[in-house]
Amino acid sequence: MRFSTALFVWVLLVLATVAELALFRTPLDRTLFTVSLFGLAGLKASMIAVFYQQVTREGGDVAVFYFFTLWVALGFIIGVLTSMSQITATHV
Amino acid sequence: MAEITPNSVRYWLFTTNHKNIGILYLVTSFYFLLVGGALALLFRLQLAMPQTEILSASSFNQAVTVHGLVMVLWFLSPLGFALANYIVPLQIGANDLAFPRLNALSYWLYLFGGILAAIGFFTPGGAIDTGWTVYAPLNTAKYSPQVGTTLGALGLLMLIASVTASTVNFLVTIFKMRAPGMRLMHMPMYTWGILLTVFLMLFAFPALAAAGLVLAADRALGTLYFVSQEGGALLWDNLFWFFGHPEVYIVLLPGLFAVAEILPVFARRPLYGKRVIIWATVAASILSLMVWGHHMFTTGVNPLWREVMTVLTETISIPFGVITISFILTLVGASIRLKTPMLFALASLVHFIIGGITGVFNSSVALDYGLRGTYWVVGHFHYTLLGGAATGLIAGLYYWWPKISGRMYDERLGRIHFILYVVGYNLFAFSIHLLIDMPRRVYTYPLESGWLLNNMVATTGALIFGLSFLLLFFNLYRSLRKGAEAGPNPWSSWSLEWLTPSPPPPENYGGQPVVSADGVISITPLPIDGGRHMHVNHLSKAPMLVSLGTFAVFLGLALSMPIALVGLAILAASLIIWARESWSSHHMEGLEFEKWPFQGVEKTRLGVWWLIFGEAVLFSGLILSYLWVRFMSASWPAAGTAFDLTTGAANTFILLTSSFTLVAALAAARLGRHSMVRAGLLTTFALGLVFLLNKALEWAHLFAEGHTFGSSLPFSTFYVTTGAHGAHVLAGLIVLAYLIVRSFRKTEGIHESVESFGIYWHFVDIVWVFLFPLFYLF
Repeated sequence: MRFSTALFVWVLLVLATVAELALFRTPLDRTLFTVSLFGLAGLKASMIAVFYQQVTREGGDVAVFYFFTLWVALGFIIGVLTSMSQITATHV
Repeated sequence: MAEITPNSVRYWLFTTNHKNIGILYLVTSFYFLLVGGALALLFRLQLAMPQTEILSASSFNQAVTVHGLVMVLWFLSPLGFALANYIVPLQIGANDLAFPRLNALSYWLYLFGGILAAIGFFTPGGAIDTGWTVYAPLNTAKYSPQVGTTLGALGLLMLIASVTASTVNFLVTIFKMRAPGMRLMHMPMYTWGILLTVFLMLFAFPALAAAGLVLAADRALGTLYFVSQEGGALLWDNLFWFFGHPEVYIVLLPGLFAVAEILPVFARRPLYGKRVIIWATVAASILSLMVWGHHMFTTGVNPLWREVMTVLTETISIPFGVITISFILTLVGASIRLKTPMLFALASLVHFIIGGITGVFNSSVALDYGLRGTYWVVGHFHYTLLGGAATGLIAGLYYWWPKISGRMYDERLGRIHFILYVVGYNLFAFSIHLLIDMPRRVYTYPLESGWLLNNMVATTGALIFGLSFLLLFFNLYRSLRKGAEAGPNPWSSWSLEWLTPSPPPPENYGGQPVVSADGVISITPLPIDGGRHMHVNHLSKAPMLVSLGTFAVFLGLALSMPIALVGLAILAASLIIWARESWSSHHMEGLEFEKWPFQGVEKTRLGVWWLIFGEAVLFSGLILSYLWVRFMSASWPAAGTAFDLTTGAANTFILLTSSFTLVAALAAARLGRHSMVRAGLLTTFALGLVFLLNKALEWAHLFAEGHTFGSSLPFSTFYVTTGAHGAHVLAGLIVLAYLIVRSFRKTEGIHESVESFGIYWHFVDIVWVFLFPLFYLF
C-alpha cells in the first residue's frame, strides 16, 4: 500500500474517533446513539482490516474465513444475549 | 547439540521432530489414561454397593472431576493428536509440521498443564472438585476455597495455549505442506478428520479460554463475574458449552476418521461416499457451534431459544446418519479381514450408533427435563466418547502401530484384548444407561433405591474394561521386544504413509512424494542438497523451557509469588533462547502445483491469520461476559463517570497511530529503505509502550480511588477485558523488540516478518476500537 493511502486512512480513523467523541457529547436517542457509536467502531475496524491488514490482498480464502470468524464471534455474542431475554425480564 | 543421541533423555526433552512428539503425546496420553482410569475405578468401587465409604463425599467429587477433565482433555484428544502428529505429515508427504518448535511447545504445555492441575491433589483441601463442567458457582472461592481448583483452572489455561498452538500448526501444515499434486479429495480420511477437528478447535477453545481467564481472575484476583448474581451460573454455562458441545466432536472426529481409514483397508474396497462423508462432517461441525444451548434446557432460558436449539440439535443427527450409513455400505458384501484394528473399528461404529441414537432423546426439551443430571446422560456420552471415539483411536493405534514401531503386535493377544474391552465396556456403559432415575454426582445411595444391580454390573464391567488395557500395554511392549518385522505396508493399505519404511526415517521419505491427477502416488528422488535433512532432527531446548517457565509462573500465582518470579526469569531467558536460536525451515514449504486454498499466502502469515481468528472468538467471549453482567445488572455507572474518557481517547489515538507507523515501516521494507524500517518499528514500539504506560497509570489511579479488582462488576469487567487486551499489546511488543533487534543485524526477510507481525498488531488495534466505545462511551 502506498504511504499516502496509509496516511489518508489514518486521518479517517482519527476523524472517526473524533466523531465518536462528538456523538458522546450530543444528546441523542439511546438506540440511535448505540447504532451510530458501534457503526463508527465497525467502520474503523473495517478500514483497519481492509487497508492495514490488507485482508483482500490475501485472496478470497482468507477473506472467507475472516468473515466466517466475524459471524462466529458475533453469533456467539448475539446468541448468548438473546438466551437471556426472559431471564432479564424476570430478574430486573 | 550435535552430540545428543536419540537414546539420551536430553534428546527427548529437546526433540522437535513430529514423530518423536507424536510418541511423547502417545506415552503421556496413556499415562493420563492410567490416572483417569484409576480414579474411575475408585469411584466405581464406591458405587458398586449402597452406602459404601471408600471415598468421602469430598474425595468422590475430586475423583469424578479430575477423571472427567483428564479423560476428555488430557487423554482422548491428545491420543488423537499423538496419532495425528505421527501420521498426518506422512499422509500428506511432508517432512514435518509447519512449525516444529511450536509443535514441541504444544506438547510441553500440555504435559505441564496436566501436572499443574494434578498438583492440586497434594495441596490442602485437595484437587478441583466442581465436576468436569466446572459449573459456577461451584467454581468460586465460596464453594471451592481450596487452591486445587485454582491450579485446575490455570492448568486448563496451559492446555488451551497448547491446543491453540497445535491448531495453528496443523492448519498451516495441511494447507501448505502437502505433496505436490495432492488435492483435497486425495487427502486420506485421518488427515481430513484432523483438519476438521482443528477447525472446530480454532473456534471452540477460545470460548473456554475466555471462561478460564475470567475464572482465574475471579479466583486469583478477586473479580466478581461468577460470584455475583448478575454473572453467575448462566454466564459460565454459555461460555463453557459454546466450547463444550463442539468439544464432543473435537474428541470424536479423530476416532471416527481413524475408523474411516481402517474400514476400506480391511474390507478391500474404497470408502463408500468419501466426499459425502466429508461434507456431512463439515455440516455437523458448523452445526455443533450453534447448539450449545441444549445443555441449558432446564435453566429457564428463553423458550424460543430452546426451540431453535432443539431443531438445530436434531438436525445434527442427519449428517451423522449419512456418515454411519456410508460406513455400513462400505462393508456390505465385502470380504472383510477381521484383524484387531478392524474389530475395534467395527466396535467403535456400533458404540457410536448407540451413543448417537440415545443422544437424539436428549435433544427433546420435554425428555431433557426428566433425563438431565441422571446416569442416562452419563451412559450417552460414554457411548459416544469412550465407546465411539476412544475405541476408534485404539483401532487406529493397532492399525498404525506397525508403522510407528516397525514391528507387528501379537494378533491373538489383540483379539483377547478386544473381547475383554468390548464385554467390559458394554457391561459398564449399558448398565449405567439403565440407571435412568439415578442422579449423577452422588457419592453413595440407599439400598432401597433399587440401583444396586446395575451399579454392581457396571463396576464389574469397568474393572474388566480397565484391566483389558494392561493387555494392550503388554502386547505393545512385547511387540517392541520380539514382534515380527512389519515391513513398509503390512495391511496392503493405499495411503501415502505406507510407502515409506516402518518406522520411517527422520526425513520421512527418501525423495519427494508426488500425487498424479488420478491419485497415483510416486516418490521422486531429491537432489542431495535438497535441504530436506536440515531440520528433521533439529533439537531445541526453548519449547520445554518456555513451558516450564509458564508452569512456574502459574504455580506461583496460586501458591507463592517467589515461585512466579523464578518462573518469569525462566520464561524471559527461554524466550531469548528461542529468538536467538538459529532455525531454518524455509525449505519445508510444499510446492503448489494446482489451485489450493490459501495459495500464495506464506505459511507464517497464514499461521498468524489462524491465530487471530481464534483470538477474535476469545475477545468476543470476554466482550459478551461484560455485556452479560452489564445487562443483568439493575444499575451501571453512566458512561464517562467510571473511567477517564481523556485517557481512553488518548490511548485510541496512540494505538491507531501505531498501526499507521507499522504500515509505514512495511512500505519502507518493500522499498528496501532499511533505516526507515527501523524508524517505523521503533516508533511503533514507543507508541505501544506509551499505550501500556498510560493504561498502567489509569489502573493505578483507579486503585488509588479504591476501585480494586473486586470492588464492583463495572471495574471487574474493565480490568479483565482491558487487561487481556493489554497482555496482547505486551506480547506484541516482545515480538516487536525481537524484530527491531533483527532489523539492525540483518535485513533479509524483514519485509515478510513485518507483514506477518502487522496482521497481529492491527488485530490488537481492531479489538481496542471496540473496547474504547464499550467501556468509555456506552
